[in-house]
Amino acid sequence: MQDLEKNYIPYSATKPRTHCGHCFQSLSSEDRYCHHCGFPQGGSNEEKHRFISEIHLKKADLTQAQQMIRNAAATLYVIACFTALYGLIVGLGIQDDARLMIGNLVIAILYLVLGLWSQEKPFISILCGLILFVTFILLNAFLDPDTLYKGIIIKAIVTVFLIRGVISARKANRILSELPTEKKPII
Amino acid sequence: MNIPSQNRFVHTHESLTCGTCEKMLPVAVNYCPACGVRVNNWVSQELKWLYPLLIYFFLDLLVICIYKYSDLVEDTFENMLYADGIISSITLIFVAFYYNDLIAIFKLQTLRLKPLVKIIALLVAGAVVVNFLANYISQALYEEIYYYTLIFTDYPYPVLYAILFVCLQPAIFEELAFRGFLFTFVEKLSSPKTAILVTALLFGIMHMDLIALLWLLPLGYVFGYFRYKYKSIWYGVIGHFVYNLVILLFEFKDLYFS
Repeated sequence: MQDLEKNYIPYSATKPRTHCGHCFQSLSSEDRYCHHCGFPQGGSNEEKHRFISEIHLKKADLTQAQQMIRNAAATLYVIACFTALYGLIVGLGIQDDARLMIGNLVIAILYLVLGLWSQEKPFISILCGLILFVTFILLNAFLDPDTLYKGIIIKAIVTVFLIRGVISARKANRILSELPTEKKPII
Repeated sequence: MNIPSQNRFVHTHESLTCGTCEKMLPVAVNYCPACGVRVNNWVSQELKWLYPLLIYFFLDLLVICIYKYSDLVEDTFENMLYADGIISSITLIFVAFYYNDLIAIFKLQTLRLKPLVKIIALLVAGAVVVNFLANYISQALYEEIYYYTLIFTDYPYPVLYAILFVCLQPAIFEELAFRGFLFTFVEKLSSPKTAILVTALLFGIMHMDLIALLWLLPLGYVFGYFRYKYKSIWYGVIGHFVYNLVILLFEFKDLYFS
């Protein structure tokens, strides 16, 4: 630790300090912009107001993106339910095919797990859900080409919701990386 | 004097330079204090790894679906060779394209005997369990057992062909794909732990057998874990080969000695 400290220059020791007017990070008084949130500390009032407005817009965009993510997660849950129901009704009841039932239940569990995972990792989980959904559409199309246009409207709606979820998750990640953590002023 | 907790020591040798105004920056800043430009733009990285992942996955899926489920192609040994050849070629193209990002995992110096022996022992045990489980489920659901090696029985040297195309080829090319560049892509998109889970899922889906997902997902997870822990593809390749070989040996026992 002492060796490390030899090579380090205390940031506070070099220049007079101040605090960012937006995120209250410690700044050098010579810094024109906050290194943490990008606030134009040394800029005009107009620049500062513009910055604050942009932050509010980003927060609004973030709220909208998070709603899209929730919609995509709900879509995964719905697909899981319908897949499980289909497996039980057709596999167990109509066709009495245990393979069909087990296969559909496995897929339903996968969708359910991806839906739950979207709370932690929305981008990758919704993307996996989309890949899974498209894979089974393509697979069914190879087995029976007629299935491509059966229920096409529902398939299109589901695909759109999942794509929007992926795009919104990416957008939310970007906005979160740009929005600073709000901190209280040091007294 | 009350020193704010945000104060930190800045190591002089780890400074960055702003790409816009060329001001020296301390490490771990989000914005340049002089010109306000964002320092690390992570967004542009995502698509670079997402598109090749999707392209590879759906290209492979297309080849497998045409070979396995299309009426255009018969299920013969020659067509299986063509399909495997196409998928292997696609894999090699991706490996060549992203070689700089993968070079570290190809180093043979990372192989250690002790962990390798443990991995082989684990996978032999796993293969034994999966063989009995798979046979039990096959008997229960299909009232028959499917043997991968039946496709080779009409040809000379069926054992050699089985070892080459059921053990060696999948071990090399599936590991190159799923624990090679696909793992790297997902790791850069998200995190190593996510890469283990996602590559296991893709590995399971690509085998096109919903019942087999019950053991393919854990197997994919185990291989992904080895890739993450040892930063090497070779444990997975050897482990995968051993696993497939044990399954194959059980098939030979059933076909030729029962």
